[in-house]
Amino acid sequence: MSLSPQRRHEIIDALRRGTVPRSSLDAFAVGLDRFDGTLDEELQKVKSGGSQFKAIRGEYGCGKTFFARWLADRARKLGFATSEVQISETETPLHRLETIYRRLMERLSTDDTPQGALHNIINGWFFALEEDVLAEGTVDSKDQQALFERTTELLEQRLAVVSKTAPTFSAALRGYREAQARGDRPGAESILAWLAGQPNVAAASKRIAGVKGDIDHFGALSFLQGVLTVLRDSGHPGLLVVLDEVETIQRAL
Amino acid sequence: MKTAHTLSQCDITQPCRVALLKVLGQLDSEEADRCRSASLSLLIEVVRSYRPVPPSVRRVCDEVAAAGSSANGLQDGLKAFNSWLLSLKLPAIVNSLPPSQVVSVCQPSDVDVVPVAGQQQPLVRSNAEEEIRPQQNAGAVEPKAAWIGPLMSSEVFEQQKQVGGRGLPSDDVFARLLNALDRRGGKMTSVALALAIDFPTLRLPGLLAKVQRILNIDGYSVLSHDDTSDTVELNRDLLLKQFHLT
Repeated sequence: MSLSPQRRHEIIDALRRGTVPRSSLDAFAVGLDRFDGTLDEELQKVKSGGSQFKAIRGEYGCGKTFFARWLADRARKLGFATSEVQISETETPLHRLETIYRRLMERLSTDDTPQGALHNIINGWFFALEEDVLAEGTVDSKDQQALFERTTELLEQRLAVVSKTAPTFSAALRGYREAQARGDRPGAESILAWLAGQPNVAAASKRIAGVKGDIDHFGALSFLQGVLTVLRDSGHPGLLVVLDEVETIQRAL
Repeated sequence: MKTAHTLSQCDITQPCRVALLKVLGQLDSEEADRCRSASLSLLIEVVRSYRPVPPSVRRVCDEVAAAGSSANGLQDGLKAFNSWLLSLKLPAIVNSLPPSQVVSVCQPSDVDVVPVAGQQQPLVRSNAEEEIRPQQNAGAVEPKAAWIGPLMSSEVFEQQKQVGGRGLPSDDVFARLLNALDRRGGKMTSVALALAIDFPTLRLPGLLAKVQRILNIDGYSVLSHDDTSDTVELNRDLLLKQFHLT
């Protein structure tokens, strides 16, 4: 794994000061080499359309979280989007998926955006869709209106599978795109916030997108599938989710 | 009273006016019509939304906005505004516009001056159009910054493109974007950027997301977008370091 020059500087600076580097934990990983082969194989499997679940257990302080972050970093380098959610009995219990979904979207990161990457992922996807439309050759690249309409159409077609279970997902994305095209940035941001499971989004913004209420437990799963579809369609190989501190739930049982 | 102060009557030189409209990205035909009757409030809006405006000018504009139809306040405000605009050397930007765009906003009828009460010497002269006539070499390709070539051919850039996903912008768009930002000292509002690289404003957020995906290695923001001020910023030093170009 190669280190970017800026990162190298940061690590050396941190060592000089004697503090823990902010984001370069992977460079300190020792003894994890033996997992390399298997993990890479599994990431490749996900990349080609599969899925994989892993549970990590170990004593307190043996490096479970470290391992998970190291793996996430590896995945990001391969183009994956990753997210880490701390499970907690009160804030993000496993039976309330909407809270996990919300945290997951907040912590969504890619190699270029360390946090809150949903914004960039969706904008990037729109760009890819526009390129798809332009490649058809039927729309002139200068004709913004035609391009916009055709892209919105394509957006809905690509999300058709998701729309069966969660029609509001594509409605919200369409609303976001329309607000963006109108130059209504606050409106666009609130729609995106709603899409990311945030509560307290202004009713006016929701009305623009034609959605109501908040995302619930069942909706969260469909929305997550929607985000996956967007990720895959814009060329990210997949999503790696780390659920940390799951053992804390056991005490409640 | 307010509607009398249209942009064409304002005490502001024609090149500056076009440059302002360029900044605003209002150069398509529908907008060109509107700019003929654009009121002072638009002008003030421009100043407020344009980030590098010095606080002194901004204050004057706020006062003008508050004073509304007061002719004296207006004159002072416009004077301060105008001298600031001239210091920006905006006409140079206008000259680099493709001829068609300049002509579409500057119909001769545009230049007619109705003197505002108390105005001694209108700065908008009937021959103002001459000033903004683009030079012959306007369409020529602008000189590229020296580091862009090595960047595009670097190994790291190639690697980043491989994990960059589908539908990446072409190298040409990439080069134009970086060049435009570099020429403006690394900072531009997104509307101005879209105009400078002749890219549809609608598609700009997507383009920026893609460019960030390539340039922001390890999450270090070589290219960042500030939502509040809608400003795009390029950290050139970091870019050169990350792509091994120093």
